[in-house]
Amino acid sequence: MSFREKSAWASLASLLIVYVPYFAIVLSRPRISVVLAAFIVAVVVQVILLVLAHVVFAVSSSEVRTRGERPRRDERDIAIELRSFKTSSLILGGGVMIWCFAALAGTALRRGTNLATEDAVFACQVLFAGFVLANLAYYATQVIGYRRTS
Amino acid sequence: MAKTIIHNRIRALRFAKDEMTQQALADAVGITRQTVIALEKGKYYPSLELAFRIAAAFGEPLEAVFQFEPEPAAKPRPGRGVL
Repeated sequence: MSFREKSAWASLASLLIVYVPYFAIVLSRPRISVVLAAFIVAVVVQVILLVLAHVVFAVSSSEVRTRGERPRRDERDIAIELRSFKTSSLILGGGVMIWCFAALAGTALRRGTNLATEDAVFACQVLFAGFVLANLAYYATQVIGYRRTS
Repeated sequence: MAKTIIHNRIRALRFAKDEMTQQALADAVGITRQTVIALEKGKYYPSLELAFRIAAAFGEPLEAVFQFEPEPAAKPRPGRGVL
């Protein structure tokens, strides 16, 4: 398994480990202080997990350890990455469009509770969930691309 | 459009060239060993530039390393031709 594939696996795993419990907490509409704390903890934990994983991969890679080279990135890596960008950008774009439509339609049709005006914290989390989902799709597509061609 | 298949003789040529390792070939052409494995298994088709670089690494012409084989187009079903 190449360094890049391991990196994609680690990124996918860290997103699932960190953001599944995160969204379970914040989408249950707790107090804003809990949401803020959960957000900071999630970001810090994910950064720590990714740094640790990449240090382990670098140390275990003969390319890096014995020859002191940076992990190579070739045309197959770039092709897989481009396909992943395409998938994740579609999900991100679709998510933003749906969010905007829901917010606008909610504002226009009902003057009560809706995504944009009544619960800004919840609305932010829904938008953030779209971003995380796009990232999940990005790394999942990379992992699938690597598995298919190995 | 008919599906195309590109065969290659990378594995055979590596063994013919003093049992060159996958890593040695990868280093020679600037790709990862995993990409060499994918190429040998036919799971990844190289760009034209990479194909030329691989052929040059073996000192062979391109067509001695890669063979292009278009799949035959599907035959029209009997009785469904244009009237």
